[in-house]
Amino acid sequence: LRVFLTATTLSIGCAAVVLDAPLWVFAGWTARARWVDVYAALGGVLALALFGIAGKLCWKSANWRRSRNTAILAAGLWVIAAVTVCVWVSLVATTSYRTGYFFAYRCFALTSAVAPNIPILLLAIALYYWSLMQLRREKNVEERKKGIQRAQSRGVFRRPTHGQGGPRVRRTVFEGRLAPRTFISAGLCAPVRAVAHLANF
Amino acid sequence: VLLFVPWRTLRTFELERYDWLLVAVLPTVYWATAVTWMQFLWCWNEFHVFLQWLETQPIRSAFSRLPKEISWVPLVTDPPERALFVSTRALDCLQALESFDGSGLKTPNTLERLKESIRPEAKEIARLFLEVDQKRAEAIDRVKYDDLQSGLQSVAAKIVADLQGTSWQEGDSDSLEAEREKATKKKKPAPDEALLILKEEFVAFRYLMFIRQVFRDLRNLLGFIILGFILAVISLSSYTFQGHRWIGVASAIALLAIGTGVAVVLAGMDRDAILSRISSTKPDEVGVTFYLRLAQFGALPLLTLLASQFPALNRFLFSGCNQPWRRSSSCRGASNSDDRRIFDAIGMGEWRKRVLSGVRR
Repeated sequence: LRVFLTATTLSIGCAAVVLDAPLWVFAGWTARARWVDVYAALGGVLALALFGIAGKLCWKSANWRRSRNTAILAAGLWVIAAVTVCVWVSLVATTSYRTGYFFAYRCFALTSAVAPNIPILLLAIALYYWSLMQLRREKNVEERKKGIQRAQSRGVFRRPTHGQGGPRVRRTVFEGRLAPRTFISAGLCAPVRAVAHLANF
Repeated sequence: VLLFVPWRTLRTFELERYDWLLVAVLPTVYWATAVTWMQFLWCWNEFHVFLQWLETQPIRSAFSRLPKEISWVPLVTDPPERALFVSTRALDCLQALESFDGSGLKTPNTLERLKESIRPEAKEIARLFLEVDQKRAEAIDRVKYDDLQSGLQSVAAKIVADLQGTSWQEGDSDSLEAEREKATKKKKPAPDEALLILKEEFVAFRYLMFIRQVFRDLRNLLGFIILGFILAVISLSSYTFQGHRWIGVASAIALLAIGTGVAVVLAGMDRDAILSRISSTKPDEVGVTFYLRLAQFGALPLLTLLASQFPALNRFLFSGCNQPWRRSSSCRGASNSDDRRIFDAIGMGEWRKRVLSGVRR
């Protein structure tokens, strides 16, 4: 669950930075628009808090030692989040020919088809929904597993009553696996292992 | 992802860093969609084996008899289902079994033995159900709920053992059963027949619970496949990328690939014998439900893709709205009045005029 919680937090954090960074350019420029300063500050605090939470979720190395695939996935997510934040801030902060200013300026014209933040925001929403969906799936599997353990502790083996239906059925019913164990054992490289983890090998 | 040739098609007039950022983030979303798609296909493949096995068991005829209000499978919609819906019916069935009058049966002793063996569990189930039901308005107590399900499972195991020793040992025939159903359509079933129906219905409820759980997972996965694809298409058409046409072609190919996989699964569901029994459709036949489901899942991604590529359709679909993708595919370029409005709204209209006049000079 931890890795998907991290993904959820990081995607919201990145979206907050993408939305908020253009405001930093305009913060403090005019006394009539104090709300720009307020939103810029609030957005910054929110983004920092979210990245802090994500960091806390990944802090203890013991959480990742047990599953290498999960660690690889978490690292990948952090790399993408860090790249997004760094590139975005650098784009907004570019001073040559006021490039950063015009970049931020276009971020406000959301319906102009040249707002550079819209594609990134939509992709962040997609990743956010993906992590939510995975969380929901993991929760279902966890609940099922707990139910089975409880039934076993009471002396009831909770399987669809008669017959076993073969090993594939057992895997689907009791172990919460949604995919067969095929090429993970072939010792493929790390990125493939991360994919395999997500496919719940 | 390679189909998109992102390093070439995602070129913009921004700084190069921005293009590379998109090249990093977009494949991540497509990767997540592809992984979820694989999960969806594999989950169905595993589950399909289970359903095929179930069809070979004597319990199969019980699925045809289940009332349709109970036996829907939650793939297409997520209706506001009442909690403990199937468990309530299972409890009713159990109570009917307990109070069944065995006087007209050929072997009343067998029923008495079964009643005796399930009595302790039945009592506990009734108690647990009351406890869980009382707190239904707040949140279901998972521990008690699991205990309740364990109790129901334990009773089901005993009923199956009983059926294996009695009715299922006698064997049956689908043709004979159809004839029997015709003959007894308006008549009350004989006591032995009624008892068998009760026992099999109780066992079928256990399987139904599992089938519904798996379908919930499948719906969850399918939801992201559709939404992920739609968001990716909208994000690609919300900005003026250099390879606009190629992005459209690549998105169409991606939709075709994803859609084929999903359509194969939906067709498999429609053809499946057990699911056909549950939904009262013909097995091994692709019927109306398949096309309805396909339309339900495919229409939105297809419309999004078409709207992003054909400005006329886009204008027709989103007339009255000012969506970014509408602008990007029909009249590319920023609107001056929009910018003026935004800067006026944040109290920086004057400042904008000054800057723009400076830039013009």
